[in-house]
Amino acid sequence: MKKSMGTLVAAVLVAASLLTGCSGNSGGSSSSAASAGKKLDAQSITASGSTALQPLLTKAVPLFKAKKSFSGSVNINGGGSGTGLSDVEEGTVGIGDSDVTVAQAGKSFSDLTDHAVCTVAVAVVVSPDVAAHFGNGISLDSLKKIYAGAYTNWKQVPGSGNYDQAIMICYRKAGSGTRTLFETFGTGVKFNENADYVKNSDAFVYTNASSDLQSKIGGSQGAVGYETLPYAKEMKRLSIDFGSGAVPCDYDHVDNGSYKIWGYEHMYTKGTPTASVQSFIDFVTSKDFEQTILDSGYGLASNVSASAAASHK
Amino acid sequence: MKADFKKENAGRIAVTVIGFCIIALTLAIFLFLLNKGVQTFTDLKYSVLDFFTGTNWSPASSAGEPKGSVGSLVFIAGSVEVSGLALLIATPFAVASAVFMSEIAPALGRRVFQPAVEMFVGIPSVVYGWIGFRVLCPFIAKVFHMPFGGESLLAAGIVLAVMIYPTITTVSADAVRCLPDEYREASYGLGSTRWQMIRHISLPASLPGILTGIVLGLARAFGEALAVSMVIGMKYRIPVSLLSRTSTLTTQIANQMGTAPDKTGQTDSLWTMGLLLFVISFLFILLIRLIGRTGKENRQ
Repeated sequence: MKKSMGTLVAAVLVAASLLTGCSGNSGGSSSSAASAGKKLDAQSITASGSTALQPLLTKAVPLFKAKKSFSGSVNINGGGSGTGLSDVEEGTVGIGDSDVTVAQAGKSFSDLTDHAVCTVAVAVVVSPDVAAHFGNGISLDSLKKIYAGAYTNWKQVPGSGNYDQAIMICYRKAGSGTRTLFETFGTGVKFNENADYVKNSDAFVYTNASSDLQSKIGGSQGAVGYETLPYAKEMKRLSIDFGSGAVPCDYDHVDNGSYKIWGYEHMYTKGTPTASVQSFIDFVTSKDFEQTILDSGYGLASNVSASAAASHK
Repeated sequence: MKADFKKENAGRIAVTVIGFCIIALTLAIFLFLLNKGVQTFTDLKYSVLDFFTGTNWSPASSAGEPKGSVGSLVFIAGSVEVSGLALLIATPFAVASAVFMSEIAPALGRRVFQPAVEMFVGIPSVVYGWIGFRVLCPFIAKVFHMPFGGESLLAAGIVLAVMIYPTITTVSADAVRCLPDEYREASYGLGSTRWQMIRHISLPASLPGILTGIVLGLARAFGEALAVSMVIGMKYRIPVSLLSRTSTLTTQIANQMGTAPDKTGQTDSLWTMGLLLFVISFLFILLIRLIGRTGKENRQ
């Protein structure tokens, strides 16, 4: 009895060490050989960062695997743009997804390479009752005042048809790319959750992720928030008046420069990416993937007009 | 004969080695946390006093930003108040259930009640958080007329109370059940009713065990991150009323981790919070052992 127990334990240990040895080896195999042939070595690809870009990349994974006969694992994680940038800088992941550039995120990493994948627009979303009252869209100035705490009731906001309802203001966490885009190209002011007017008011509500925002806005009255267009498809979006008339949030207006709250989706790499990472990035930026990009609610970087691109450097 | 000796030694050596490895692991974790947690004050030169008494948490998240401050009083107060509230809500129910299970209906308790309570322990905390977020918060919002959602200290306290109730109950029930029958028989012999016996004999005698259960529950409540973060509102404010929104040490770590690179104020202050949590849990364990020891002495 005891002898068979000992052999069983020994067998398990040997099997475990063989398995760890296998996975360790595939990671160590040289990347230089892969670039020559069509067959990619089965290195794994890990990406982390923007939850706005995550659904698109998740859709790309099976298409990429089919097209390039890639047999390794591809993991697309979330965590927010700030996390993505930090992770790729530290070498934890191969690709850092971000809705904003390194400079826009306020970081000082100088050795990351930027690959622009597509464009994403940030829409202002509201509860259905608010949308019913806003015929012509909201002005950018009103948005600034709402997030600065100057307006607390919708009846104070011009264009709301005197709708008497307290405003519930939803915001994302500090590292969120969506929030940085909204602050950089929308309100123009960094929202500070340490400010007294935010701390002392229950009207400012923190939402963790896009699904959180959807349930908050859908289930409450008088709520306003911001969300990227792919996630905002089910929600009521307001047109925004940037100074020359209300502009709806869609990619035609992003491309011609009239809708200003948008950004490029970036995939950042550090140093020389592995062959599989490079291949994945090439696939995502190739013509084969363009239709999926459009169908998923993102815009094509190539469609952006020169003037719009210049304002988003 | 020699083979038996060999197996004896081999077994003992294996168990001793594994035991030492676990101790070494615990020590390693503590030293690692200590090393990282102290860097906030030694390398980045934030003030210790400010950490424990300041209310402004806005440290730099990259090298180029102004230093900011790491006042964590909000999180410490939030943790303490949420755990305290959970304990206040859960303890009466738990002790009552323990007495019911062991004194008043022992057969029913053993066959039905105890398995039901133990089932609660197995439910992952994220499920409690999800139900709290979807069911409890709208309910609180409706009852207390809160237009912006029912996330509050009260919601977190209730969710945590439900989570720690089975812990306190099972430990207390065991403590009451383990009392020697002589105590009860002596009490009945003197002519007491069952309730008098429970109130004057069982509960005081099993107090060390009940206190152990309470401290275990408190430790679990203190360390809970995910369920609390879903229902507490995540505001940087010391809670002043039951309906205030606040943050705790655990929710702040869970929320902010990974956002900033290493060696910045944002990440290092999270390490310090982690160290603080570790030290507090250690103090709880010490407290349990202290209670256990005095209990044994009293019994003698």
